[in-house]
Amino acid sequence: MSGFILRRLLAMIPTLLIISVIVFILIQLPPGDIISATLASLQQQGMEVSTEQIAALRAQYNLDDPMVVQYLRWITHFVQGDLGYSIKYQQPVNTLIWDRLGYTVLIAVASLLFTWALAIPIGIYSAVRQYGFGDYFFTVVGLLGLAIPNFMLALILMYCGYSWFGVSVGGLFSPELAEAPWSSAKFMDLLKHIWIPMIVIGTAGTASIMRVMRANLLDELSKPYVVTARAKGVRPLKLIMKYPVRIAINPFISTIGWLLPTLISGEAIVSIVLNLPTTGPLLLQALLSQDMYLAGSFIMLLSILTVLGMLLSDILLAALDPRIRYE
Amino acid sequence: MRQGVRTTTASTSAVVNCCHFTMVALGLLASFGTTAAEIDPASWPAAWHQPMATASELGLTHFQQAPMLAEQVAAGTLPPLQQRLPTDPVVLQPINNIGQYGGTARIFRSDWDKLNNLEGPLTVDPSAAKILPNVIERWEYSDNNQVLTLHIREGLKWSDGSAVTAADFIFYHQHVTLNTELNPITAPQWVGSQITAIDDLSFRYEFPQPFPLLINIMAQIGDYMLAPSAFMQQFHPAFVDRTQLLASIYAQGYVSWMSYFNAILFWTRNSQPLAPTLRPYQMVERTPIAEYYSRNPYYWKVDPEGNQLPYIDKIRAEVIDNADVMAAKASTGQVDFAAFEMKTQDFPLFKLGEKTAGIKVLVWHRIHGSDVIIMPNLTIDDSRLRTLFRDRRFRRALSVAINRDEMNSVIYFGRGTPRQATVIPTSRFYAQEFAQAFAQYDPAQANSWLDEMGLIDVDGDGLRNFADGEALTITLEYIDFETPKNISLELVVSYWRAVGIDLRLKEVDQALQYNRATGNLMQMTAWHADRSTDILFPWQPQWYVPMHIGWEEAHWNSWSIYYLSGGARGEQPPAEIIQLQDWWQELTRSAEPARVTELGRNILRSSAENVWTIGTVGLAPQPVIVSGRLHNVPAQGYWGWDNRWTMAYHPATWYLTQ
Repeated sequence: MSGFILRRLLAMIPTLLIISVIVFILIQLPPGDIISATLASLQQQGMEVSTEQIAALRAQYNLDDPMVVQYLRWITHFVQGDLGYSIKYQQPVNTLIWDRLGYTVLIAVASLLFTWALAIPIGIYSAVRQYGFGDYFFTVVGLLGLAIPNFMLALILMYCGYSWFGVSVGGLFSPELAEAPWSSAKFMDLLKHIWIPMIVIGTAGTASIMRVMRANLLDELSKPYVVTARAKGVRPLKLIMKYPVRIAINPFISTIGWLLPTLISGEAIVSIVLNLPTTGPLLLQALLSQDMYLAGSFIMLLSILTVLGMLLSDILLAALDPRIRYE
Repeated sequence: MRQGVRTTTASTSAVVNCCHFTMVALGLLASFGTTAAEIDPASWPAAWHQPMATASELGLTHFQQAPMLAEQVAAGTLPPLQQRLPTDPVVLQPINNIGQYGGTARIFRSDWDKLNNLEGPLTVDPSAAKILPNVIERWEYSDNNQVLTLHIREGLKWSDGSAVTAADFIFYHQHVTLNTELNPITAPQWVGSQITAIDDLSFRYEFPQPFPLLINIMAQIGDYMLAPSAFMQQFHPAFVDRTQLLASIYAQGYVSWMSYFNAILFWTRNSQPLAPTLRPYQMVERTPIAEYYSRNPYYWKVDPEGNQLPYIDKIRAEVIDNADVMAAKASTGQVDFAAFEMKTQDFPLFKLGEKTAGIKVLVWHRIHGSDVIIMPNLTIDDSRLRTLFRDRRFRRALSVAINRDEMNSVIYFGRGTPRQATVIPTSRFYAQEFAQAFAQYDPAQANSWLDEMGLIDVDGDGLRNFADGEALTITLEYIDFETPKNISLELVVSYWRAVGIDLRLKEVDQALQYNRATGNLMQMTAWHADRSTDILFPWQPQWYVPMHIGWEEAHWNSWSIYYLSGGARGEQPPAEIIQLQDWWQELTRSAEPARVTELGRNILRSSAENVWTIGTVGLAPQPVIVSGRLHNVPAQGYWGWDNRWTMAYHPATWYLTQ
């Protein structure tokens, strides 16, 4: 087991190295750079910036160095935990990301729990009562959830939240509580706001998990061991939960690792519409303005989390399913 | 078909119809009638047009402070009010009534400086036509206009209680403006300049050439001329040990001392240290959700009853990335003031909010001479297009082919002024004929000029061809921001198509706009004609004179480059263009008011006759959204960069009720 983990960890190094090179090149491919984009926002405010100043700024941020030099500078700092400096926000990248990480994790976990709590029981129910009214009903609802774009659902829920419950539009807190220290009132306020992103981000995932769960379980239900167990008089609930569900749930364990990167990529569009202080909008802004250290470090973090997540999935799967062997 | 004329294509007419539909819907909003875009100066207090009065002039001897500060004084954490106010505080007249203290104003981040506006050396009047004293109390130019002597108001203090002295201006000039690390390229106005202290409160700037326009710059971007020197010196390597400074800066993740210095001075950090200020509010901290500001206990202006301003205790400026969410929040009364990100096309939504959420929708006017101007590139490499664009008849024809009245009613609800790009009516350089030259809708005239030029539709597709029969297609590249460019240009496409000109629109990325405009690669682009007041027009007449290169203009970049590089690069302009540049040069150095006016008018007359750029609708309506609890916000104002949006309307006198 530990040999397996060690081998996998070593294999990650070349993978991440290649990713880092590709990321760095991709960010720099579009015409222009962060300076022209920063300039855009300065001039939008009416500030005067001359061509010479732009050249000087570029030199100050070492943007004139050959790409290899820029890459090496970035990656050596990165491995030491210094994610670089955001030219757009005029702040160290570490500060920017850590500031927003807490809320991102909170929303990601909340919507994940929401998804699973809803999707798995419904999936089981749909499989057991295949072609029953409930199955059709949940299928229709689930597919609707899958089909409606997230931002649309977000807008509708925001409207409902405001006009029916008086919940302020956007954000995680009411303005009067946002700066207050944590208290029970602030916690209640958070609960009043967090259900919108939770539902919006959760519904899209719900439908697919529901359908996968249903399909997997249906495969198992017709297998001989189930028929045998049923013939032997095992109670239906115990029978289903103890054997077929355990097998049907494997695909979710194997994708649990994918959740790690979404913890920080967040749901960028939903976050922008709902004005959530998560990392998603930050990543989007970084990419739009070609803020290369912010964007590059962000994507590297995502890649590391993805690779780690895959490993985690494999370990979990092996632990839960005795049929799987280490190779 | 000799006159290649077709009404509109399916796609463009769909746009137009859709706009008409909006218009019909809007017709129902009876309270939103049409009025002229020009503002009666009498709508603002007379005191705002004059240098601000002081307490002694008004006989004020007793001063009061906000309860929030009185508590701190009682607790001994703040000196008493008398020690904080200057010797003779400045008195600001609120537009309606004396306000009350307290409250936290809720705004969006982009409006932070609209409520907490700069306190520069000088300031401007509400019509954006006159320069008034502010931090600087008096100034004199030498006879040759090369030396400007300035006197600082006595007893002013920064928000940390330190005194404002000539050293603050000298520090900024010598260690920021002329520091080659902070500013590798010296801004043109400061090249060869010197600054000398006369005493604690007086100093002078000296220039190698006459520079009467410096006071314009001091009024408009004067926040870039002084800094709390005592505080900022501890972050500047000229005053502290560079090695130690850098060690502490790198440890905090900053890449250079310059980035750290700027972050402190311009408040881009999240927390202390942040530079003290002269503004009404001091920044406290920034989180990913919002920025927080708190009143400056040393603010140096009072109301006519002696109450220290500002009235409002705190500002919470929420950080929102999405313009639609901002419009939704503003229209439902969830912010107290919103304007910078508010769009003209959302007026119907805001008017709805007036009924349902108790907000007030004020209509200010954008200070742009034209909200969207179209620039044919007179120095484009393509020789056929160049010949075409340089033919004055072509530009005039394109101009009169535009139905500006319809644009005004479709896009601006009739609240703008159909006009060419020229200065606004409050300017000393303004003449009505400049605004109206070739701005009347006359497609027949346009057709006859185009026919005369030999642009005939030979293939019968309804669109004119070059004289040799080649298809004539013009591509206009633009970015859609700040003003309603997209919809304006869609309309222009349909108007030009009606006279047989095939215009294709191409929305580009911001970085691409920059590279292609400055690289002289665009056939045509569009922008908004800002800098159309007496404050900035004399200094930056970039729409009317080739004297500047930037991403916003692409109508004669090769000439501008030639001018700026002293003939080393670019292309030599024709005599009439050199004449424009000469006029402008003389304008920036002349102190003779009559001559200055004459030179400015020469430049604008040339623009009117030659239609260097094609204007559409100017002085466009800007929605300014005010919640039911915010008071003393003027019902009318000029909105733009020239007067720093709200600077002349004294946001320190605005107040909140519960």
